[in-house]
Amino acid sequence: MRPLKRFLWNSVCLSVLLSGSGCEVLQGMKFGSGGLAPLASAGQRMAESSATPEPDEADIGRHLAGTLVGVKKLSRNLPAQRYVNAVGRWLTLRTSRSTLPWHFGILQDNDINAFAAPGGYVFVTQGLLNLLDSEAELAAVLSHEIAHVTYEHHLKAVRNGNMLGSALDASITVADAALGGKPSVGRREFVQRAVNAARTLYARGLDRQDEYQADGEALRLMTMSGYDPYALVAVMQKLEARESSDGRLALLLQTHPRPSDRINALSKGLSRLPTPLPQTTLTDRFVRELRAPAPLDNPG
Amino acid sequence: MKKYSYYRLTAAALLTLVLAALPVHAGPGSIATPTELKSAPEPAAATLSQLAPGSIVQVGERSGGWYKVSTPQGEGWVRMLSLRIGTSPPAPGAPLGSGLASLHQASRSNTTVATGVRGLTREELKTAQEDLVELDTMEQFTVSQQDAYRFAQTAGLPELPSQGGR
Repeated sequence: MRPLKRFLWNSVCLSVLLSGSGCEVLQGMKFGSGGLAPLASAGQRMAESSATPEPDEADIGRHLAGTLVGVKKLSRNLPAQRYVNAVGRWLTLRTSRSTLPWHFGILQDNDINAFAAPGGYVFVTQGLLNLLDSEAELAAVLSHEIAHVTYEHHLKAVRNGNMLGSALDASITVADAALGGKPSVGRREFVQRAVNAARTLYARGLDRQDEYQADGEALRLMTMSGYDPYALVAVMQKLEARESSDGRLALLLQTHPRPSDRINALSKGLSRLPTPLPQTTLTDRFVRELRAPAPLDNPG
Repeated sequence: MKKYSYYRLTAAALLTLVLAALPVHAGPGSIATPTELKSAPEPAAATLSQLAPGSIVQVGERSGGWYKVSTPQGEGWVRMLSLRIGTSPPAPGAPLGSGLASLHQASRSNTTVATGVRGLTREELKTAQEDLVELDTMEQFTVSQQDAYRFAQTAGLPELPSQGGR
């Protein structure tokens, strides 16, 4: 509770800085009225094509995400983790899957990357976080990953690659608890296959069309949530500027379309958004929440 | 309608004030496609000059789809989509993650063993083992829908279109 209180308090301080009426003025910007109706309906239309029931999705996602944090530990900076969760959770309220148990995490990794897993897991590396300049840019990165979850891109890849095989049925029908905590053979096979799926998926990346789809959905989510959608272009331009010289981008570049191609696609997506676009970047809050010295910073 | 645009202007002015108080990161950029240098970050603003592809500029703050730039012809605003950050042109057609990035990665891997700071690589992923205990520590970071809503409201982010509908 304390970290949340901290950023709520900080936000109150920002309101004071903006002088009482400032917030009222900002709140007077009714993005929900008229202009954004097409975006909202686009979200509603986003059909859930999946044949994977939610509990199964959560089970698969848990082992995918668990494998990722098996490689890179989570940051121990609790206030920063809470801040990223607050921004991320706000964005998820505009998705068709707002009731999933969403979890956002900063990975102790200086490389520049972000990941998602089914069931509502989203990860961003410390290296990528260090590259960002505003809450809108953080929202851009998180929105892209959230879209992978809402469109079930990882589940689709697992299904299309038949990565779980018959283990899926065996595992999910026989819960651990039913066997007194001792995993069944089928269960063990399921877990091993899920770990293997994670190894393959995160190293190979998703379908490139799914990446473009996630970028497009990110624009919608950011706009609906009140963030300047051009912040996603700003993030891509930072990646583009480092593309040929920064080894910390290696895995991201191996698993995503080129930043310049993504920018071209984004420019088309931006032209389809209803105007006026929100301009909020919340640079100040971002700097205060993430750049301040953290008392609980990474012990290792 | 009038009232609305007044709010927009005031909000934009406030944001500008907040942003102006912060150190603006400036760095080089280059013009990617022919574009106009504008007096303000909007299409209707006066055109100060024409910028040719390859022109090097100093890039300052961003306002929506516009960057403030400093050019030999003076200061102004250009559309962010006609600008490339940095000065090095991208390696055209280079396969993803190959070339410089991989070379850099390889040499970096060798030199960073001592510090233990190494990025998540394909090789590492191949032998990954899950750590569910570590994953469960995420529970302490989670933020409820209600707290996320309040968190957004304190910064003036817009109302949900249909409260209670979800």
